[in-house]
Amino acid sequence: MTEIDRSGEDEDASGDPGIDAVLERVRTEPRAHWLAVLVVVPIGLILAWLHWLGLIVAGALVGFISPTVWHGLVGALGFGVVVLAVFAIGLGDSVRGVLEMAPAVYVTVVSALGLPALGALFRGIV
Amino acid sequence: MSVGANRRIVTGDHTRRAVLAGTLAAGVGGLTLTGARELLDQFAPLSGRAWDAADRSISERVASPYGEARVRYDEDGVPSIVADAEPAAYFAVGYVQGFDRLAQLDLQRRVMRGQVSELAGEGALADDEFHVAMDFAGAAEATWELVAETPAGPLVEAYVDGVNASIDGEGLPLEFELLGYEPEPWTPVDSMLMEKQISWDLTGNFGELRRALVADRLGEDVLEELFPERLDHDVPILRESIEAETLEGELDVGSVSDEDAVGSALTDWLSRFESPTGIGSNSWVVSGEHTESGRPIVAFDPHLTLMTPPLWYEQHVETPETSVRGATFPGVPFVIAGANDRGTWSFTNVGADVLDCYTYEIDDDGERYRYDGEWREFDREERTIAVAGGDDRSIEVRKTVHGPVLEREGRTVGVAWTGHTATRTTEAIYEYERSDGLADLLEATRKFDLPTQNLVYADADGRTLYYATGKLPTREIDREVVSGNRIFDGSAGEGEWDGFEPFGESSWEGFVPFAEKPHAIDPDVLATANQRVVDDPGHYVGVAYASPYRGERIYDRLDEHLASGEPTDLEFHRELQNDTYDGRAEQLVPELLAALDERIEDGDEHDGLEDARDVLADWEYEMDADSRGALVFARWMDRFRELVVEPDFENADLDESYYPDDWVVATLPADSLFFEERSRTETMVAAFEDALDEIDAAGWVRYGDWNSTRIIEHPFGAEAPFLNYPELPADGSRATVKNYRVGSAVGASWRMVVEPGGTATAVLPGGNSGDYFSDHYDDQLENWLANDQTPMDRTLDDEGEPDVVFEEGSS
Repeated sequence: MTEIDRSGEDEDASGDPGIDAVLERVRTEPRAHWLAVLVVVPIGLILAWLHWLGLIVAGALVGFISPTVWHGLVGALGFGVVVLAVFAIGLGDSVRGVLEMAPAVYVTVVSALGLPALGALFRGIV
Repeated sequence: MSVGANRRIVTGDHTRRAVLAGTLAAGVGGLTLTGARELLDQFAPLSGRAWDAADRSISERVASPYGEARVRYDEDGVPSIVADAEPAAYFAVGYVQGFDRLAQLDLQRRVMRGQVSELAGEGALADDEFHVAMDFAGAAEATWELVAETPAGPLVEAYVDGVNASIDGEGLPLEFELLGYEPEPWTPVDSMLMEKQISWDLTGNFGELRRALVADRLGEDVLEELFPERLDHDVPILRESIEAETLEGELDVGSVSDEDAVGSALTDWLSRFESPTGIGSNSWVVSGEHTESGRPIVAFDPHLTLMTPPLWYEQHVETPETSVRGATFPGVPFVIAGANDRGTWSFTNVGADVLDCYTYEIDDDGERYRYDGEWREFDREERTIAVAGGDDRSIEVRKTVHGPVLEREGRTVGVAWTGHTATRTTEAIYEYERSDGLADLLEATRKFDLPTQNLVYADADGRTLYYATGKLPTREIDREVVSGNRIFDGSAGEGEWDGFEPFGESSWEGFVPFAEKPHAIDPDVLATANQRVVDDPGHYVGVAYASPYRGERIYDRLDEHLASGEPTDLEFHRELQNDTYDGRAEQLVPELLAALDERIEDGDEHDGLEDARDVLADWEYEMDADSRGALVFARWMDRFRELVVEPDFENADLDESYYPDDWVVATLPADSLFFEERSRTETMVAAFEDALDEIDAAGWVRYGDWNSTRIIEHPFGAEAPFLNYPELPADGSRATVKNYRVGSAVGASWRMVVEPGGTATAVLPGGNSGDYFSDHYDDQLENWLANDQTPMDRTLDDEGEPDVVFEEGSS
């Protein structure tokens, strides 16, 4: 696994040593990673607010800053939970009505978790 | 690591990347190119269209070209609208109705204009074809031309502007987001269409075609036995014992004649669009002689379609001219049933015959019809019906001198309906709002052209009134007056309505004069429950009366209480509205128990029969949700009716919609032809055994398990079930005062009890808002089930800020 990831890192190389170094730190150093998360999540929320494809792009961003695909998937699911939390807060008093909107609300929950996870697969490509 | 090993790792990594890339591409492609895309467009978190509707709230400040007004919603979501000028008030009425019920407004006009297929696809095409062929929109246009010139006209225009300001200025409700379309602007003609819609629901009756078909298939004898023109009971609305004044007028009596079938395809098709089964209502009035306060009391509950949101909308309007609160149909500016500071008015359906059918001699090409000794071209117009997911359909609307022409499988009839001309009901209702007592109201009632209703009124001076509203046609054949319960030869000029101008303005000269319509001025006690109006009417009124169970029960309860000398109060009348005593059970259960006893003595071993017999024996005929006896009786009654008529009707290819009513079945004698194969007693027992099997199979324990609110559906409830109200057990049956028809989704669509000039209470079956996310979407449902009414308060709370302030200006 480690070997595969390393070989992936090689291919992830942008060609710019500076960028590569930053990406390496973001993926491996906890402090840098969380800073990147703080940048990526709001961007992802804005994208998700604009269109549901934004959920996929947001998942890809979360994956991109993750050390591995699997980390990326977990991070994307976490992002989905954040999306649902922000969505619920934004609904205010209407949240109960939305929860009773079965089966439509299943689409909401599944897409909140599933679309970022789909996007996180991007981490395995780059 | 060797070079070969490295190469395998790189190759494997490429494969993995390819798989992931493929998965990602397939996922995105699948989501964007399939039906999933629409679901995500609607319901994805944050971006979904549906959520735009979740945070709708009405604007606190709105510009109005008609001047200042204030709106405050009470704890039941009922708006109180206050303005110094009527146009400003009705602009605000339009605005709040547009905000609270916009989806309902749009769907109703689509139904009447034949535009539902544009949303729902081919499934709605047959309905649209009917509504286009009937040209209700043309009748509404003629009506608006007339109403526009009355004092009500400018207020209708202000109302329409208010609805459109709401469409432009507020977010759209959930239904529009789900369907992904925006409503067209509301028009005055749309408001007139609402009058046509409710009038059609109440009086659109092709009874003559149905009777002709039954006579054709089963014979005249069966027609007379199962569908008598007069039910054998003695509780008409205007009982002989009623002491009341009348207006002047000597009366003629019509005669009844036979019929001629026009074919089952046409009749079956048209029967789908008739008044829904069970459309009826209760209203009654007692004079101040019988009340604690010394003022009259009116109780009213119209039995119309139960739906989500409710058919009615409650509103309160305060202007210098009036202070009025009550219920209206969304799309109508004025309170239709309610109270002002001087009086209260209510309506139940008469069951009058205001629709006639005509057959014609038609030429071989089908382009001309014979009339008045010559061939005439049909009036023709091509209309297009848009169909979602399909090709547009073209339909030719044809009309004769009598009205629109309906055709199915080569059989053709012309239809004359009193709603197919300009009517002044909007003006009458506007004048009701401003009326200052009985004399005013009576004068306004002269303009109440449509529909035919039992008007029950009382005022703060203690006056009471019953009047049959609406125009009643008279018909002649060879100068002899005849009833309308037949199909007329249109080519021979039979049964024409003098003074009726379809899709124009009528003079009404050949109709029953106002003073000669059934009425009673200052009756002491009077109850209407859609039963026969009067035993010997001066003019033919109709034959589509309800069975007398409700009317009899109301009169019995009122007579009993008043005979005791005890005065009544509002609570007594609310309790009477809640009465679940079933007259059918009183008629039939003793006979059924005797039949069961006989069967038990003969050694019947049907599982549970003896226990069920005991349950029924202990039952007191009250159709309460928690009653086991009510459940057994209700299922038995339906099965008994089926077993009595089903074999013959099935052989004649007549479905359940043609079955006779419960009164006829209950009183069918043992020597009837319908008991030739199996005796009445045997049929009763067989039905009982079938009912027990059905109850066991379904797992029902109490009446409310079957008799529930599951039938109160939203128009999109099948696709979006969350829009429906919750399923709760309900009291009442189709024969009880507390009326609930689980089979046809009909029941008390509004209940009110009013002491004119004093206290008033009311409740809706659901809530006053049609907005799914509103607190008032279904907040009255449980109160309605219990008939727990809340005040129809016309006082104004001056404390606190209004919810909406309308300020002078253009929006």
